[in-house]
Amino acid sequence: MKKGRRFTALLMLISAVLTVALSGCSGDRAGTASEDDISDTPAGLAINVGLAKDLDDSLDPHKMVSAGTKEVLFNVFEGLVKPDSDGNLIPAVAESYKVSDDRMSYTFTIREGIKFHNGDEVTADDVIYSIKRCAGMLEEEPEALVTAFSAITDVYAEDERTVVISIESPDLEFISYLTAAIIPEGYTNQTTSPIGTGPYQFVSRSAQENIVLKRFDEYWGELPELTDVTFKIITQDTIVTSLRSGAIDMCGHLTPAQAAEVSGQYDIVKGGMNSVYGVYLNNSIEPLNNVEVRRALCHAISVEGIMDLVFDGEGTPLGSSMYPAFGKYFCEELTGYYAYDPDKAIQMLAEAGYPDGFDLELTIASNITQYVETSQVVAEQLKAVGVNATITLVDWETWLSQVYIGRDYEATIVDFDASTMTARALLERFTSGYPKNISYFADEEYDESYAAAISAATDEEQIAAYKRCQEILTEQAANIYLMDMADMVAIRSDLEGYEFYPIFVVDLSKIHVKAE
Amino acid sequence: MRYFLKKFISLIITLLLVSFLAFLTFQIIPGDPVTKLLGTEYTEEMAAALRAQLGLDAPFLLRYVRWLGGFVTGNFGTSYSYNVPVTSLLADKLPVTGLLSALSFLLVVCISIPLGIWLSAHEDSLADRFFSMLNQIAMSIPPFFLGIMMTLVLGLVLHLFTPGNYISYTKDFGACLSYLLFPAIAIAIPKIAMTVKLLKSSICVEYRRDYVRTALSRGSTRRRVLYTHVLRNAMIPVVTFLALTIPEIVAGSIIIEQVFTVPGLGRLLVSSILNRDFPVVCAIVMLIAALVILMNFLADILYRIIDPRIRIDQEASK
Repeated sequence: MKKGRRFTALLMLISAVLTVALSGCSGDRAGTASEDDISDTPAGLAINVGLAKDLDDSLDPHKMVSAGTKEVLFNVFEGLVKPDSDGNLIPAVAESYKVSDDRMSYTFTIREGIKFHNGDEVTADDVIYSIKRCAGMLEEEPEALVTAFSAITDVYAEDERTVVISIESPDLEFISYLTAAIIPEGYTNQTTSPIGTGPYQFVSRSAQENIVLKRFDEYWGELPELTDVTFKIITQDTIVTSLRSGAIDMCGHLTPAQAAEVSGQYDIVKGGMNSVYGVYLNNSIEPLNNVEVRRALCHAISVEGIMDLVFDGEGTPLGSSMYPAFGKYFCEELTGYYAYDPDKAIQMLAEAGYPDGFDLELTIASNITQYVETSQVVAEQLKAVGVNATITLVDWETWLSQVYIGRDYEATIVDFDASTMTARALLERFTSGYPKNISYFADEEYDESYAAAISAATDEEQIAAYKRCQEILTEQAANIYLMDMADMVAIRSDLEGYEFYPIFVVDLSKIHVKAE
Repeated sequence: MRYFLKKFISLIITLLLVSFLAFLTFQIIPGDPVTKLLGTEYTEEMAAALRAQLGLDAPFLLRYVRWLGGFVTGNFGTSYSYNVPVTSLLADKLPVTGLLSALSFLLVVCISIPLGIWLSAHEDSLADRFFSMLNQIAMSIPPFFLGIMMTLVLGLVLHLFTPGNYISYTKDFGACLSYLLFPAIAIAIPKIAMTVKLLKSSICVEYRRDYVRTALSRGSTRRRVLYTHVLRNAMIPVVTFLALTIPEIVAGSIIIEQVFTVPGLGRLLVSSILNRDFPVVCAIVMLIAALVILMNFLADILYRIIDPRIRIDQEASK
């Protein structure tokens, strides 16, 4: 009897002790945490933003590679100039700049009183250091981190607030690359604890948990309304639950299906993903080296069909390697160049010597749902014209090393963006000498036209040359261009101000509470 | 003493094997960390420079020996993805998974033992049949499914917690614990079901033994017999089972962390594998391997403490 009681009593005692101990801890911790919160943010506006991918990358603005990292840290860093939501470049760290008559030297005046997040004023030395670092002109960074910066011949300070950058040959697009972040000279912790001049400063990052930013109260521009932003790392599968439970207030890059599920509770903002989504073909292997075969494949694919089945009818069809946000460079007339016509495709394949079709392997990165779903539709559409398409799913790292870098594949589905807001970023990849020309596209006229665009003296010449490049890509059916995917953002219904940029960024500074 | 020595040596050998296999796996699977780190900006020159910087240009065995040397001296290396020492990543994530597993284990022990004893005393009653049925169901539900159901029903419909709103233990320990309670329940339920079934049947078997009949005929109450004699014997398989569930609970938390978006070791492990961040992967794999081995060891020891007929050194000298 006694022993039995003792046993039960022991169990109860253990649970009692644990309960007290645990709740005791919680009391203490909760007390300090909430006090901190109150003192830090008087009447602040704090929100949680969902991110389906962690920023598991270097946070150094010149070294980060993942689009997701650039997207978030857009709020932390600024270049001499920075893009606005219409795709124009507006002054940032520099309050103004002049281009010399020979277009080979740029003179920047640094904004007066502009400060880094650590409180130091931005000096001409910081600007020179940042530019040299990107250009590979420092001893510790012998490689150019921004390829276009290898054209820089000299960077020097004219006075305390004036910096001159000289380049070896005129380049209309050079100014676009000066969006590269200005960082403090000699600061060595950029990889884990970045410091810039943007409207938000970095607070902390916890792997697979969150990234915390807070408003930089000494920002040179207008102070944003949001004071504290926590990016919570969730997974694709938990986006909807996290939104519906209220754990996050905002989340970007929803699929149309996800957006539909939360549309009652959240405002949905629609825009373009601003990338060229397509079926990319290896032009160097049989039978894809035959232009007639590639054209036949273009006729075999119904973009409408893909849009309806995968994207709930959302998206903007494309005909070449350019998307509408580029405005002046975009050739709208190329859209629909190859009408969906499976009969014609069968006939063309027969004429090209493939009356019974052929085998085609689609190598797809499995981590991106849209790619996988699109590949299933594409495979079915190809089978309808006799091409026996099979899908091989690989993880992202394998895709990068095998398809993107190794270029050892037959066909793949991916979208390419232009992180520097230049047409060059989208068109250079199809020049014959480009090491990551995954299509192995080689066309003399294309290379000439591209070279003409780069060295063009006027905007008109450049636009004409870039448009010709797009036409060649379409006429030669280098790849099957599909669309600019729709991008959907769910935002708490009392907030507004989400703006889509022609590049892949989220601008927190514009988000504010709706006026009553 | 010889027994401990033997166990210790086998622990070291197993860990060595595990680490070698983990290393080898990374050698074989396609994709390498350099590709991930450079992403779409990859060029041959940059890749070569980075490979040299990370020491990946050395031959496989040399890299393994280097890594092992670091590991033994407590230097687990630096995460390729996060650019921070692996130890600091682990120090950040280990408490999360530790807390989740401990909570889960506590639930298993505190619920299944009293319940098992109670049910054994009411064998073949209505309650017993009801629980047996419930047990069968609970045992066959995978925790991740239970987790999804719980987020839907308890989270979104009943609002008992906010799915996705994990709060760090450094910020608010109580809130963290109350969030972790739900994933802990999801992991614990199947384990509770198994433990209850095992304990109940184990007690029932003991009751049918001769010594119980003798004790009862001497006038002892059923209750007294249960706690003084039966339970002690009946607990042997249960304790072994419980010790072995600890690694299973830790493994279960790896999956459940994805469902409840808990930033613990599990999510770190999965993302590190995808990123080919092998200093992190190797460290976590070693940690889990060590845990499994140590728990097996603990089960052995407990076994011998509960049942003094089994002598540690006797077995070792056999």
